[in-house]
Amino acid sequence: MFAALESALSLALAWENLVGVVAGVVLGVSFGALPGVTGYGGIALGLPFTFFMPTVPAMAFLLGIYKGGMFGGAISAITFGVPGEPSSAPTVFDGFPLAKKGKPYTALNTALYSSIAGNLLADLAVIFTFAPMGVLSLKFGPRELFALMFVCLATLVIFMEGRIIKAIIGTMIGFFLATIGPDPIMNYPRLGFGIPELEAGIGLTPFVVGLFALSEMLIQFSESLAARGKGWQLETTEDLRQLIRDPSPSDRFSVRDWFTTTWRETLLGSGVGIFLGALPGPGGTMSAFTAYALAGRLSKNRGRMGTGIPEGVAAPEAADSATVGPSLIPLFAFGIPGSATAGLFMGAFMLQGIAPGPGLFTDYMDIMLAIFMIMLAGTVANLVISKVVMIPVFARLGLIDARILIPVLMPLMILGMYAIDNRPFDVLIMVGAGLLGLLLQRLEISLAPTVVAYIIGPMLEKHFRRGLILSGGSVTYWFASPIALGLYIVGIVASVLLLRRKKT
Amino acid sequence: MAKQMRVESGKKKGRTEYVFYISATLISIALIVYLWSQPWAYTKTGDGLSMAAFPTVFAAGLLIASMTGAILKGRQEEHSQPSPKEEPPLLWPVILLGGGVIASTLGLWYFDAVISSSLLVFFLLFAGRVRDWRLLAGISVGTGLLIYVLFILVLGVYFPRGWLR
Repeated sequence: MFAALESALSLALAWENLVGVVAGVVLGVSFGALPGVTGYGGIALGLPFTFFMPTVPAMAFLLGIYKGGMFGGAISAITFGVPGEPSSAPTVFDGFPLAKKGKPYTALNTALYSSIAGNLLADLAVIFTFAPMGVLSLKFGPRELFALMFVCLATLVIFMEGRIIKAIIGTMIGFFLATIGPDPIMNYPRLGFGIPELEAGIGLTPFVVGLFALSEMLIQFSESLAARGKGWQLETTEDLRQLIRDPSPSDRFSVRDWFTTTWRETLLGSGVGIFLGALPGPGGTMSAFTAYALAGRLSKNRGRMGTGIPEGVAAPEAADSATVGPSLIPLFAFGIPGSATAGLFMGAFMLQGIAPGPGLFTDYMDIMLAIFMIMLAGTVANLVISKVVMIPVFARLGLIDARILIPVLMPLMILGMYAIDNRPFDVLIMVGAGLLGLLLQRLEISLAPTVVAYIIGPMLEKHFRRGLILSGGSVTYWFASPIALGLYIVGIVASVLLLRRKKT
Repeated sequence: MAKQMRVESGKKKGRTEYVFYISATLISIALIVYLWSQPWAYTKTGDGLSMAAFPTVFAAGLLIASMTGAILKGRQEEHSQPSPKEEPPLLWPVILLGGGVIASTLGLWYFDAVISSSLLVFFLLFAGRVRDWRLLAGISVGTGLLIYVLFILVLGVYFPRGWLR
């Protein structure tokens, strides 16, 4: 064991691995930070290059992109109000208003520190408990996953801020839109309404980007047009300077400020992310929304969530980043990719001639231990690169006048949506989702239940119907598993407690 | 005077909400009728459910919620609250941005990804009342270059070849 550790340490500290992880982090953060380009796209882009690399540098490079992309998505969400990844959407709720108040450094630093903390805690959890976590994730069949979706649904109660009917309408719209596309059991096209492209379904990224970003841009653009009645000319350098607002003088946020303000939310988010990240299905988006929703009820500052406070940034960012390591557990332990990103990692292992699965830790122990060490190195690299380079640059970009910023962001979003599947229809979906988001915002209907329902909907249907097939219609099947039973109880108790807490 | 305007704005908002609830009710009824009338490929799958089961449940949920909303709103209508803030008109920004996005997407086939994006930036800056020509040209061309480097050189995205190429 010690020989393997020694060998792993020398592998992990090899210069090519450190270069790989740093290059990956730079690429991941840059891609995540650009509106319309996702970190997932960065991994897909980086995958072919790993064919020419040895195993450990290849994994270091991809892990760097994965970790960097998670924080990069938050940069875009905070600076431009455009979630760089669907999982960064809840960061927009507080991060963007905080930046608009002239405090982009506070928002970005909160996101960075919480993301790093969530990442670090998750890495340690993976290193020390990956075997039991892997076994636990395998115990989740259709009924347990259905029960888990029930718990996630219970968290929707939190978004019902005094307007229950509006929240239910938002939820039902999300659920219904999620049923458009292939039937989850027979994979047969459903609800195409005569449009062939719609039969493939509504993509999550164009839907979330349209709902959150395009609608916000429409509002900002209209506010900007209303604020300046007449055109202006750029005549002096002073005019140019006026295009970029100055940050607020109080925009200072040290590690100590972060820890004292947001340690609860960061821990809460990390816990949610580690648990949901290890399970197949929920992923970073569900984890981030659940963490934000729970923070909205359990935080000290819960009454001010959504107005632009660091606590509202910390919880989703910690949760999102905490899913990175655990999402790879089913892959490492059993060779089962639990997410699309884990599928790309599986492809990378296959390119190296390694089959992920139970034999991974016996046949390639030194490589796996080196990968664990590189996960920690990637977290440190992410902290340094984002703190020194990315935050200063993007905090400044976010202060540029909306009339300049929005026209530049629009083509990036359009081409980014097109580039996902080379499908122009995705751009139309983004426009449609943007108009829906605008309507819902104007009617004071929270966007969160719509997105959560949109994510949960297909999983809820798939696991329920799979369970029906397995059970042969037996009701007792659904309650025969202790895990499922426990999750039902957690869901019911949580929703009752959260409702009571809301009333008090 | 300002309070009177905010009360008017609140009344207008209340009417908009009422129209929304009624529209949502009608749309959900239309969806349920559509779901019932479709010749589904699998009316009963291995799980004993039709392919339309879940969409129908969700459309029914939307129907019940929007009908309830319309009834409650109808009762509250006479007690209109002042709107907390004046909201800027959205019609023109929606037409400008939405139309610009769709035109730019269509422009991928007629011009080119780089050129149609530069034109979109120019159009939106101009619509945003930016009148300095150096700024207009600089930002439009700069964005086109960024798009060429990022999407075509780095990401290698295949865009339709417009007739200009």
